[in-house]
Amino acid sequence: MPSCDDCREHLWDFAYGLLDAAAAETVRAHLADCPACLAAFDQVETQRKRVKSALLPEKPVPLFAPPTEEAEPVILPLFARPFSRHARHFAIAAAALIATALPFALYSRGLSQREAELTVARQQLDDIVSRRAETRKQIEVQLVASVRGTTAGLLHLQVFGSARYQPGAANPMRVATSDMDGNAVPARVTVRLVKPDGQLLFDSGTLSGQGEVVVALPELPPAEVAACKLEVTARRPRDEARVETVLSVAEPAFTTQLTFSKSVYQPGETVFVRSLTLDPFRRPPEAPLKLTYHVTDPNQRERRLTGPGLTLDGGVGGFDFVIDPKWPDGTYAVTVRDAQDRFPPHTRTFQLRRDPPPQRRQEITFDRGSYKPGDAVRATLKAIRLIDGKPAASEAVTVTLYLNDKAVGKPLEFRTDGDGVARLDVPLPADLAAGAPRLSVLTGPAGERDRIVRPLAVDWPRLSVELFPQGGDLVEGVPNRVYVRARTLDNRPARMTGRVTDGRGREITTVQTSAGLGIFPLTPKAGECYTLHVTGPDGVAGATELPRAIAGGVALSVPAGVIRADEPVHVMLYHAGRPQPVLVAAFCHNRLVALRQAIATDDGTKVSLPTAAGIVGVLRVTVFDPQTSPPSPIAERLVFRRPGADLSLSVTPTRTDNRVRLDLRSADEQDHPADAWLAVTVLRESAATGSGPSLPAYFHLLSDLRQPGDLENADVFLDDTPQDAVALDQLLGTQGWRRFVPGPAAAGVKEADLLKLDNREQLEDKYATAVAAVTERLAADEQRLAQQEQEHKDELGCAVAALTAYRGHGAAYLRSSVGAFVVFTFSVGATVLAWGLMRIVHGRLAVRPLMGSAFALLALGTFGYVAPGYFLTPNAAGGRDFASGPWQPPALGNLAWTRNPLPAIIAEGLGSTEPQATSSVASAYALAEHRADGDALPRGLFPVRDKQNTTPPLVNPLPVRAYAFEAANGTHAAAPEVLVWHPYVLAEKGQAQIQFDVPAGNGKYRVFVNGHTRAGRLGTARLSLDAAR
Amino acid sequence: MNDPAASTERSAAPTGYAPNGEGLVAAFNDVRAELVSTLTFMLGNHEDAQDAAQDAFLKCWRALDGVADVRNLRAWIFRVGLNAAKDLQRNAWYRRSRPLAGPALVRGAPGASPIEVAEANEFRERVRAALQTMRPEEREVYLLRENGSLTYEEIAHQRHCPVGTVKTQMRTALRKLREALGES
Repeated sequence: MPSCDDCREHLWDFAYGLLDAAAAETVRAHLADCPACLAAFDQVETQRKRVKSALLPEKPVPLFAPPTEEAEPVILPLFARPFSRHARHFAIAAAALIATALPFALYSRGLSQREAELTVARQQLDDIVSRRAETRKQIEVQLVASVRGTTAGLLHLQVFGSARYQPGAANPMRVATSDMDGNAVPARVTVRLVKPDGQLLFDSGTLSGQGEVVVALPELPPAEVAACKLEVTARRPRDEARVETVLSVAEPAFTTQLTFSKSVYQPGETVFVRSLTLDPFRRPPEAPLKLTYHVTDPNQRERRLTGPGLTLDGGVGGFDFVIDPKWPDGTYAVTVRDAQDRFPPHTRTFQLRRDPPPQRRQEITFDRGSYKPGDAVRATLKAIRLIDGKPAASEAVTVTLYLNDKAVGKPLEFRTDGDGVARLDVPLPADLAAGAPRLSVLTGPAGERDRIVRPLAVDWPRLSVELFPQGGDLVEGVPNRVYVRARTLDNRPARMTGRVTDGRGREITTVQTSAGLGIFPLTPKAGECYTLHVTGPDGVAGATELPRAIAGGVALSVPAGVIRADEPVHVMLYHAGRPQPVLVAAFCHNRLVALRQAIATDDGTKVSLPTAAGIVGVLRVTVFDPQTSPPSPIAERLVFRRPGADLSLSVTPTRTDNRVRLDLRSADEQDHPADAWLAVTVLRESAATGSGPSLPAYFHLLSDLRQPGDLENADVFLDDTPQDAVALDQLLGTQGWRRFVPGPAAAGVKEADLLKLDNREQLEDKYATAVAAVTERLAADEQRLAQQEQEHKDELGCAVAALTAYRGHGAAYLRSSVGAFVVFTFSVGATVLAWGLMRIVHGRLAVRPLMGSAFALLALGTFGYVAPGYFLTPNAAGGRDFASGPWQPPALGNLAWTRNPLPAIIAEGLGSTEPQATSSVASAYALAEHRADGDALPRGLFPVRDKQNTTPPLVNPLPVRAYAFEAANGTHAAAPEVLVWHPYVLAEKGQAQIQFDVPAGNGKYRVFVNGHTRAGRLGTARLSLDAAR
Repeated sequence: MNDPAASTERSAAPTGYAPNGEGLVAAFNDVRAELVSTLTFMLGNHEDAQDAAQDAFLKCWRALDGVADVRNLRAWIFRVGLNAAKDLQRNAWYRRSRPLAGPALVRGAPGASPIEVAEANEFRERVRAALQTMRPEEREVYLLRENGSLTYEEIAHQRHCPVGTVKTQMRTALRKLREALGES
């Protein structure tokens, strides 16, 4: 039984029927028993009713009444009387006609209007395009004419010459004037030298030339020329070209030669040294040089001997020193240096050998010139006692074979016969290694032995073969000459025969060397590989590949490598393919002496280099590429020009008892007595030949040759025999060979040989300015037309766009109209057809006209659906095809002003061909013959220096001492090898005298006399003295 | 004592109406006060409620042919009336022109003293405030039950929800009403 509280809590839910059945029953039972709760329930009900009544609307709600039936609306007729059927049909037809025709008419009118606008715009554009093309043609014509005019007015000036002013030498300058096409142009040329302060140092005056003028700068004091401005001006009636540069002066360069009294010394002996320093033209220096001498012992320790000391007049220096007995045996080198480095340090060697004074004169004669390993060396030794001149009979002879200063095998013993002759038989080992074999022969009893050492010529089965293409490189397709140097493995010149084959083994030519040198001609084919096969001497084999021929190079050859003094240097140039302009220059001791322009062709171009008569000795002929600046060398070789202005020396000996007097006479080539400085040496013959021949015996080279460049500075004394010329030519081709490595690295190493002045940059500036002016004027016209064209193009584009849009709208309207028509007719037709079919289905009669109308409508709809496919396609629209894509402007082709053609024209005009040497070079080099024909120096050739200022007071002249043997009290035991050493004999008026004693006995002696003059003449004389006579 | 359980279970449908136009009009007129009251509380003003009721009446009239099939005519009328009210609520123009909460409905019984009128107005105000505190679904359930005299099953059927949910909403509505009236 629930409590009253529980009951009252659920009274509201109970009143609203929210309790479930059980709970409701429980509450109902409680209410039946509990009057209080029942009263509460009544209150709830009362409240509920109160709330319910409060919910009702305060306004009265009207009663709903059923809606009454509405009357149908009455439509009043518009017209009092209906139209007749015909009138209705007419009205419909008229409406359809108007609906169709009016828009079409309006559309057509708009279309034709726009098409007319388009046509006008097109015509205007075509007109402006054709006018622009016409103007462009005119512009091009004017431009070309302007370019031609400007080109014709420009004068191209090129100056080639020595890179530095060369005191004491010719300074030839080649001034070429040409037009822009490279054709020679006559012009008046002026060359001036102006000092920095504006003072005129030299003026060539006006020189007229037909495109080429050669000017030689005069002899001027170097100090004045330094920092001078070289101005070259070329004028013609309406134009002037001018180039200038600041000249630098080549430092005076000298060469120095060292001479010893003999080549082999013994400890305690005195070494006499003479140095002769001459300038490139073999003239003695005007001012004394400060020299220092060093000697380097075999252990490469350098000892200073003297100096610094000043040379004597005539460039002669010298000193003597006694060899310290403690010094070891070996090769000593004496080096002379200038304090101001005006010549490269010069070194010459002598030998120190501890042999006792010879008691005998020994001579060895070999039965053959050379031997092979395994051969027996047979030789004859003849020994004569020096004391009494009798044969050294019955004396022991010990022979030892040395290889590279090491004994090979055991010493062999022999004995001389009654005539002092011993037959030596020395077997050579079959496995003799490569090296320098020598035969050492000891004669006499122990303690009194004399030693002589002779090199042994051994032919090893291999030779060292070197190939030197003339000019530097093998060049394809043109004749080349190749020099061959063959040496044995011990560095002796070797006789060799060989054959040159191409890549397929076919023999091209044969080669033969004489005294180790040879030459053969070769015309290499492109891409071919050539090989030199050694075929002789017997037993010697080997092959050397020739260097690869280069394409496009210049082959340089000289018909004669040795020429006379009055002969110009002739050069042949070959170049395969298109002719190439080159510059050919001749240098003497690095001084430019001749310069020519030439065109190298494949047929060969002969170029003569006119050289002043005084330019003699070794000349370097270099071919330059004038296109580069400075011109770069491309081929080179050396040529020897025989001295013409020789110094003729004669020696006349007179003997009185043991006293000998040498009368020396010096004369020029016209036999006039000439003042000269002489060096006189008298040597025992054994000492004179002791060092053995290191060079071909035909000529005598005063300087030691260590590197190719030395040969250029060496003075060559040449006998006047054809063999000499051939041998010297080959020597120049091999020893003096050098190869240029093209490229900037090589160019930077070597100082430029040639100067090149070119007004090309000025011309380019001038030309560019002129062309720019024309271009600017013409470009303005062009721009105006282009602007007009663009405007018309825009107009045309607008017209086209308007027409296209208009036609598009028309077509769209038509399409939608037709679409609507099709839909309408289909719908109506289908409806009518369906209605008719329904009638038939319901058993009624079909209305024939109705069915016909339905089919007609359907057919019309189909037609309307299909027909526009034919009539509304763009191509069927008529007129121009505007709907096929966006409008394209007419192609302008190459009319576009994209590239200025003028730089190309400039390049073509300037760079196609170099000016050709159209006129032969006048013999302007006559100016270069600065040397007066005589010994007197021309005035002003060298500045007269104040010796007080230039000579440091602390420096003493070198102690040049003379020596002559004098027999003391008739004893000749210590007879020296050097009888006379007189490095400084002054032959005044061509006369000099030397006196000396001759040791007793039958000795043979050699007299050497070398001389030079102030004018650069050189001479030598040799004489044999036999003491017995 | 009248039986509350009997009142909860009595048929909500007015019985005895002829299945024709006259019967329909009679039935409509019988429930018109409750219907308009219900619609007033749903739509917020009396005029709209009357429009909706008129609309419902016309709909019912057009469907006169089917009245014979209606088992509970009263419930059907209320359903049509509520649908008409909801159609009116969905009308965009109605949403824009719906007035804010208007002044209290004033109705005085004829012949009542001013004090009684004031008390009646105060009570009506509190009832109205109580109905405003109810959520729309609670209010609808309460009005259908109290004004329309529909059973909970009929309400659930009309609202497409379970009977338990309807009863829960009814309890909540009652609780809020009692709180407003200070009964709890």
